[in-house]
Amino acid sequence: MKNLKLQFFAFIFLAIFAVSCTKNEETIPSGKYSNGVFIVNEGPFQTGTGTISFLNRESKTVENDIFQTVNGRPLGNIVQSIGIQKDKAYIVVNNAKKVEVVQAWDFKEIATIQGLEMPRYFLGIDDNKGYISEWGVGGINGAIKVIDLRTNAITKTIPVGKGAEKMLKLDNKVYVACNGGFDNENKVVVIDTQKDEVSAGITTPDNPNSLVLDANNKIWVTCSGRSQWNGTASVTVAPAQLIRINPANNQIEQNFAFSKHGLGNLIINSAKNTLFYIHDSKVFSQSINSGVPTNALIRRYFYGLGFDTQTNLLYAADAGNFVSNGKVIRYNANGSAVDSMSVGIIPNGFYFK
Amino acid sequence: MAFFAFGQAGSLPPQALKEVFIQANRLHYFSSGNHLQKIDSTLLKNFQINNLADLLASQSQVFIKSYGLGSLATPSLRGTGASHTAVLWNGFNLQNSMNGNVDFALLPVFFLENAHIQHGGAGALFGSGAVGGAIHLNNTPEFRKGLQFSASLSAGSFADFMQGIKLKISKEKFVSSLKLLHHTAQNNFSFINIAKFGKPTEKQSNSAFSQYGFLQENYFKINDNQQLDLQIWYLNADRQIPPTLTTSESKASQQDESLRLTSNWQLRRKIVTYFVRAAFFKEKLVYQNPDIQLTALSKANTWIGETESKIQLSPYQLLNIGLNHTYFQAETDGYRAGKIQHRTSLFFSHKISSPKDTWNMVIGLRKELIDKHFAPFTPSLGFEKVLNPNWTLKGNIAKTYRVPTFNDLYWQDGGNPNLRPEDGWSGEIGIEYGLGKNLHTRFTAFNSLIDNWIAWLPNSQGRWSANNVLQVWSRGVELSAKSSLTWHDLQIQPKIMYNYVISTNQQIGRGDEQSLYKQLIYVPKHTAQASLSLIYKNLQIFYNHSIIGERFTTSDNTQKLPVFTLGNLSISQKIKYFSFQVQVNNLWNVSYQQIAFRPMPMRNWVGVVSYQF
Repeated sequence: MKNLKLQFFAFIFLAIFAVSCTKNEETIPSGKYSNGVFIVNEGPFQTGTGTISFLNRESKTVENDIFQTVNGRPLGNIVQSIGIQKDKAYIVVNNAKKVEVVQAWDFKEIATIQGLEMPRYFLGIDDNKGYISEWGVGGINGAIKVIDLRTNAITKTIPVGKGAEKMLKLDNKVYVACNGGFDNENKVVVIDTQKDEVSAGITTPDNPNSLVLDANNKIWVTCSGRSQWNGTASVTVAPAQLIRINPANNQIEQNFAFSKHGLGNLIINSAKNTLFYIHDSKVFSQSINSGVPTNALIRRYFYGLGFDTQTNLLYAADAGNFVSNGKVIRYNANGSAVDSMSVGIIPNGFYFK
Repeated sequence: MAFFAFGQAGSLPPQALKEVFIQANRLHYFSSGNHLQKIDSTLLKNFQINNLADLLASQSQVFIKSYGLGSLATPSLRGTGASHTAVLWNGFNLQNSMNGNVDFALLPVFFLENAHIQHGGAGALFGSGAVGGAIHLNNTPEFRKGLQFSASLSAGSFADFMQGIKLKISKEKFVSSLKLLHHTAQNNFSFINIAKFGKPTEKQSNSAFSQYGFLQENYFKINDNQQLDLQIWYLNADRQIPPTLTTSESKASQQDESLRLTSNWQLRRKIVTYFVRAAFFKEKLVYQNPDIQLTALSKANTWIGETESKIQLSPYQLLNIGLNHTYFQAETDGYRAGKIQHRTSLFFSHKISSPKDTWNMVIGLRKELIDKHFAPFTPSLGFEKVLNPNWTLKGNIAKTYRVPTFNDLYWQDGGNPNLRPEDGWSGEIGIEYGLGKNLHTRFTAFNSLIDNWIAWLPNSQGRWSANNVLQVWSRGVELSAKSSLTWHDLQIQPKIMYNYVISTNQQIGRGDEQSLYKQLIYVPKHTAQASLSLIYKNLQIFYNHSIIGERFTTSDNTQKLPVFTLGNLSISQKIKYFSFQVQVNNLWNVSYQQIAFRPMPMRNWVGVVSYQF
């Protein structure tokens, strides 16, 4: 009898525990890396490993190579980017042809997604689905790999164009910039996220690479143009162009041409009314309501840019000599430097949490 | 046949050296004060199935950077880079004009009869590239030895098979020899992939190699005063390039093909000996990487003509005057057009010895013209003094230089046609202590500076280019001791070596402030080796133990590879015409990396059977 009572209490206890557990699953757990900035460091070319650094905004401290610290192994050769969906972070490792999946709050390893060819970026579609852009075999067979986030399995491959690069989600559509990979390409492809099919293609100037959405729900795309080697120098064949697409009809509404090739790293501020990009080895800022400025905001070459909407600071990645640790320099939106910090080898981008 | 004379190690009669007509090499007559190590045929015998990288890694004080089993291997002497060690084959520099390197994985020990390692700068004697030191490979003929033949077969771990044949006809007036080699391996060794989820044990993939080649040498004694030598060396190597731990797979491969013709004519007169030499090297490299749709072809041809006189001014004074003209030609897609280079150098050495040969001093000078520009004037001064029967003091100070490679000059994008040669100074002082055959010890301290060190760095616009930006200061000490003891029929030969090298960036490029005063990457501060050879009649047991200290892998010294130790064991037995050898490599089954994220094999073995008469 006593035994039965004990069993009953045990049952009640377990039931409560189970309920509380279920409840916990609904909210994202918190940990060391819940709030802050992930900095992507490609790592040295050839044999090295890339790393992820973490900046704690409050203490202003940077912890380098958090994946190695937490999991006791290196990430892999050429870490391209990091994307987060719900409570998981997806780290895209280009030359290792994989995506490492970790718990976003403490960076503990969960799984490795393999079967990718030169993967570039991850974009979460919903709790169960994500897209990974890749350049494909030979760098000219660009595609979107559809991932089931519950099983981390590749469920579909959507061919899009050479050099599937950055992606932008707007309602039930994903816009993919095709930057040519190891060749040239001139389109932005639109994918219907409900059918996982290409629904439209937008012909753009040569080699579109990054895109942002502005306050008016218009899409801005940087197209780097094209260059050719003439024997002594790289000469512009097609100059870079900054374009604005109206997603309602997929038409290019506005077009700003530059004199030289080379344009990218497009980002936008918190109010979504000022663009930042890199051209001619300098950083420019441009209002969405005006033309290309004559003068650069920062006359310095950076390998990557990011905008932190929480602090309204511009983050710039300096890869230095490309073989030892790089730097991140933070700027006010007006271009005045705030501070700098040492990060991993070849920093190229940011994820703000 | 000295090569197979194991079991009588060290018993090569001194007369054997007199058989050699004239040592054609400047190394023997005009090197003074440098730390010089000789690797003799007995030791080479133990490594006949290995490449020069394997041999030097365990038997010399040269640090070898190997990218994997059978993969690219380059030397580092006294804290310098891969292109700062000259490799001289019969006196001709083998350094590739395009990248400045010699791949030691493509130099089979099977073809070699001896090797000398000269530490320290020797620009005046051997020209561009002899900065950290020079490795001399000179086979020398022995006349009147009759017909010699040997055949070797080996089989080892990871499907490693080698077949070799040596044939030599040695008459009164001429020696002709042929060495044929074929070597293949899968190299699919197991390793723990520390970079993957769950750290699985994996097999190395895309790592096979196949290598074949021959060396044909001829020596004609035209008369008592004249000799003509001709050598033909051909090697073809096909290697897959394995993935690293941090990449998923590799489909890349590399095919190397080289043809090397060398010739030497010498005429001995009463006072003057004349030498006329000519060489032609043809090298071809095809790199293929289907992943990035790349097939890259590089071709390099080198023509060398050299004339030299050795003048016996007096019994105690020897003079050397020579002229070298080298014509380089190279082409690759990377240059967009074929490139050529003419180099002419005039060199001079003067040796003064004391009547009883208790001391000698050598002054060396070299001036080189590269196309229309002069390389720095290159003097050197060396001395050796026998203090007493046991102690010898040595010293050397030399200017060094290295001409920029074609890649540095012409590679598009970033090659810089305005590069100047790297130039520097190297100095050393050494003391040797010997007790006959029983003990030989050596202590050398060195100091060297290399200015205008060429590095590829990005500028403020992120454009990479080659520039004369770095200054590297290298200093350290080298210690070695070897002994040979005989107890009844047992010979015991212990040997130890230790290197301490500090090699730092004294000047750095833009954006590289963190690298200032930091140790160069992949230069260990400490390396030590110990070996023990036991010879009992026809049985030889040879054990070698190496300890390689930490190596930084980033120029700001924030990342490094840990210390590792390697043990290699070789047991050989000779029975009549046959000899048997078993080699156990990495005896202690150590997991290690020489280059970051490039796995190396755990314990492995090779067995060799040779037949000779």
